Amino acid sequence: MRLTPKFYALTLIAVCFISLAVVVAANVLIDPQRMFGLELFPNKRNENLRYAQYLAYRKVEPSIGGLMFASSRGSGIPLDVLSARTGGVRYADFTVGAGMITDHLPVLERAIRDKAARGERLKQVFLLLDVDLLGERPTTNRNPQTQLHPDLTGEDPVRFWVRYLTAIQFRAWRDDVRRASLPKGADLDEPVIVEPPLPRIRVATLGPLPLPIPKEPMRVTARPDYQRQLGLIRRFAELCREHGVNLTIATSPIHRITLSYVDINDLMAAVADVSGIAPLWDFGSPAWLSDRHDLWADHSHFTDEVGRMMIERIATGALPPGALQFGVRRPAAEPSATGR
Amino acid sequence: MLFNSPEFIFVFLPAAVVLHFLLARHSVAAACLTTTITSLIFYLWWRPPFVLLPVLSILVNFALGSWIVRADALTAWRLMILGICGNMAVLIYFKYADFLLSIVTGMPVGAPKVPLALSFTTFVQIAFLVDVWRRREVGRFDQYSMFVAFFPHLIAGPIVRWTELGPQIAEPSRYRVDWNNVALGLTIFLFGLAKKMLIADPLGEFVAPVFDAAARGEAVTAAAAWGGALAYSGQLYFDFSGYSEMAIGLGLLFNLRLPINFAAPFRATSIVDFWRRWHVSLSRFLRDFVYVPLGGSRRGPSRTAVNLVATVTIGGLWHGAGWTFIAWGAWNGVLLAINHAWLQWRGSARPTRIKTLLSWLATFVAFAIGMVFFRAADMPSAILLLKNMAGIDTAQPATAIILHWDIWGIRRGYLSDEFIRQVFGSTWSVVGTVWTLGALAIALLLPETIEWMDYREGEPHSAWRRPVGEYAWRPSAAWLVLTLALFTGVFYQINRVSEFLYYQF
Repeated sequence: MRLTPKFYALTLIAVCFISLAVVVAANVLIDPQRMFGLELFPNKRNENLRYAQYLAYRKVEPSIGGLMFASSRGSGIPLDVLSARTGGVRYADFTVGAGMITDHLPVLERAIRDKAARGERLKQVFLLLDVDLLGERPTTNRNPQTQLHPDLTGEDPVRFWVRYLTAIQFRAWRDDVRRASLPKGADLDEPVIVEPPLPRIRVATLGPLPLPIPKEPMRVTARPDYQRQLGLIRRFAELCREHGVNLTIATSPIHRITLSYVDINDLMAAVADVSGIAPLWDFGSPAWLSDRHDLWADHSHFTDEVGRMMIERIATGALPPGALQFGVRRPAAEPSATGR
Repeated sequence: MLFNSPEFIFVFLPAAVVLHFLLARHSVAAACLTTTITSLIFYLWWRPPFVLLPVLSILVNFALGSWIVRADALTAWRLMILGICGNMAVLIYFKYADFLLSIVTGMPVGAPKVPLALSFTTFVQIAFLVDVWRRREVGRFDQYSMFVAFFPHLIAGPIVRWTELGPQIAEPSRYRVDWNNVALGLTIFLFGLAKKMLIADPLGEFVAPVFDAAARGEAVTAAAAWGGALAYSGQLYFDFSGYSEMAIGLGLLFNLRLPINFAAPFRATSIVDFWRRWHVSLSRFLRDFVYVPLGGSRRGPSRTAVNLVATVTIGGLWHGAGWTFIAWGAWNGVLLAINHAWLQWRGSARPTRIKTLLSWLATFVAFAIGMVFFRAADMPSAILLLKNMAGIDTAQPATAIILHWDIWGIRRGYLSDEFIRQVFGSTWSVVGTVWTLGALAIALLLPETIEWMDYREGEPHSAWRRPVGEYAWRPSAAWLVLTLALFTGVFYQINRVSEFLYYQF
């Protein structure tokens, strides 16, 4: 059927703009990443915690003396206990799903710069590292829910907001709308997300996750991004050193099931590489801890109880009752051959 | 701002077109100057202070052009040479100074921060000065400024000539909306956008692990090295031809017809033919402003060969300050020289089908080998990949599959992880192979967008076209549905904006 060029062109233009308007409206009204603040559908699974935490930090920034960086495993570290054990310093929490050094370093740089501009300094930084996930491809800035604030990336703010207005995320829209119609306390049937290596958060727009199929246990130090991430950790430690910040690095305790995915000797080499940069508390994978099911939310995430034990161990040297082994302080050491 | 970004498509572009035609109702000069200004806004979106560069370039080159028109023959020639040297000096300062310094000092340097569009505007300005010198005619400032700054070609071409675009800009009838051109322009733009976002960008995902591994000094398997080289050949073609088509489509919205830049290059059956089809506007510029002044083919076969190698090597260097680009240019120059010698020796005998097929294969493989230099981070990684392609020093089978693309197939038993680890290692995948072959089949078997659209501006020669008959584009319901289907695919990806490969040049 032949059309007039004018009809053809105007139809094309109209469809383009109507599509845009529908997508923008869906993103603003449903707001899966909680960026626009309408809260019409408050029960969300794809909130951009990186952005929200940075905004929350900026609001109370002058009163903050410490920063806590971790992946979702860090949700087992009680900040009140950490604060009490480090001189009452108030911590800002930067615990995010799939959080890696690529998420943490920009925040630290910005915080140190802001403090220095006011003639102040950060007192404490607590960095919980998932050594078994070191070198994995980071999710930082890859999805709407892992996007860092433009202050941290230097990204054009227009581009940043356009991304949230134009993201087509059918599953996130659908799930947020369906959740709103559920009785209070109920939730959708959601699949169990297994780590390693990637996030516990449900990622609607992430696409296929790079789950390795190990023929033999994975070698952490052979991962493509390993050296670069070591370099970022080095920069992180140097920044703290240069600005007189008391840095505590701890490795997250690993359940034996999670440990079975990786080559243990290679994991030790990775720990040595990190301790070659700065002293660290290595909480390894003690057998008694894996045996205590009550201390794990799942085989990747430990509970608050374990977090308390870790802080006590770091602050006072005390072992948990009945435990013979939990946490070893590794002083700055020679890195392994791969980490040089 | 990028052609494939929502802010460009939904805000900047409609505003620029509407403003242009609204002002054109009152004054052509106002429309030209406004489009110049909107084009400069488009440019400064990238890095505002650098907008001074095109502004100064426009002012200085127009002043020089005006001077050339008024001067006597000798002075005009000297002014033209001065202008060419001045433009080249700016390009050399920003793009090659660090590279030259590294040659002198022997110290490696990082990639220079080259102002966006500098390489392209330098060539446009040089061609302008030469055209003005030859014709002793400079035109009006408003039209000239729009010619240089016009955003559809400003960043990455096509490299337009004042003699072909100037008369179009000067024609008053082009300042009224022509719905034929709007319909055709939007369709070509969306086809180009689809090439970029639906084919080139996904191919780039497969390319990166291979070349990144080589950049780290890690060997890959032979299949992975070939996969990476072929996938990058496809990526570059779909990325740049997609960009060029978007530029043509945008030009049509303003009733201006930009020249064709790609004429189905993967169908070429010789390297000479290939370079008549690939980045046509650059090949044309190099022929007219480098090859011919060097003597072209007028001084015997040996000198012709030297001129060819020199011209294409300069073309390689134009792409970037680095040994890999020089090697890429030299490789193609040598291939061209061999091809010319072969043509002279063989004469004009019509080849058989088998010979044509073999010629096509040799041409394509030679191009893909050259692409290794073009994409590699440095010479050692290019050499490593070439060795791996030849089966030398290849990687051991991978111990685990790291890339995620094949995992779905492995879990369901469609793919053998043993096979993938042995043959593709940790840097290539079955999915990558299927994508690459699919993309190359599209490039090879389907007509080019400009063939569907019967767009012939600046056509290098007409022999390359395949008849599309009744399937040729016209404003019909079927074409509208097809174009909207492409838009749907593109729109789904629209917030994953990625830069065009040729922006770096």
